[in-house]
Amino acid sequence: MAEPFLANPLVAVASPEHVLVGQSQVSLARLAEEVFLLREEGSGTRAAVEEVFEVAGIPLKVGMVLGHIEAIKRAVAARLGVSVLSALAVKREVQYRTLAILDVEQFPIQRRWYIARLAGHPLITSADVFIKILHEYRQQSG
Amino acid sequence: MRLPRLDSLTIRQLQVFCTVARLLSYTRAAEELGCQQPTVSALVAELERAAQLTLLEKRGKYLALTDEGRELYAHAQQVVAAADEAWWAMAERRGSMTTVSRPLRVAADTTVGTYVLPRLLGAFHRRHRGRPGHRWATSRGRGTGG
Repeated sequence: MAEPFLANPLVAVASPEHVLVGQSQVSLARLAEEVFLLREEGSGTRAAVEEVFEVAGIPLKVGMVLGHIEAIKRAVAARLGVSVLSALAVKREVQYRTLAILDVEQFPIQRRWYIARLAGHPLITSADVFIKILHEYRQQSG
Repeated sequence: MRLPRLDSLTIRQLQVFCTVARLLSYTRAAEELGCQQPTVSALVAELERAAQLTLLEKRGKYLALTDEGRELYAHAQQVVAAADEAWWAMAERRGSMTTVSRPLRVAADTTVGTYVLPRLLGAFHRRHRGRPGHRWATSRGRGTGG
């Protein structure tokens, strides 16, 4: 059983000094000229990025594969490349201007998280409480 | 040939089998279950004898579920979960929930696990007297107990 949880917009990020920062509606082809720093195969974020570029028929240059979001953020800030991450994961860096969100066509990639639990399974009391907290949070986050 | 009987099946065997099937490693399953690796192998072998089927096989360096193993895994997960429910329901009846709290298991992708779940688990922790025994599952499908 699954129900929608939060929206998970994926944004293109770069160092604040990057030439594409401040440009509006950068084309996918232009963005693909940059080196991408991505998570390993099997990551949902990576799959979403690859899908967008595959549909557009534009090959991606993957410079480095990093297993942690934190490692990707630091590498992007160090100008080793650009990346696509959940807006939620870069909120603080954008606020403190260590990373910048790029205005790219077809971005942000709109994804959503879901709350899933076993169907027909009696919910244990603690899970009930937790799901209630998730609902409250969803409401607050709009 | 003697036919295998249902009563030769134990929940312990199924629980051990589920752990091995999830981790695809006898060693790591033994670590998680807090027992010796030969004990784990023996229990799975027992289950295979009872089922008269091969459930797990070595493919090169890796352990993999056979089709039969995959089918049993789906059923075994339900049996183990139902047994777990029964156990906790009885504990609730005994009123021992104040001393032993039922674990909450949460799996999430890396982003949610890192940027959303902590504050929600914090809220849960404050609201619920139970201690959350949470389980992170990353996109690689690995989990670590918390």
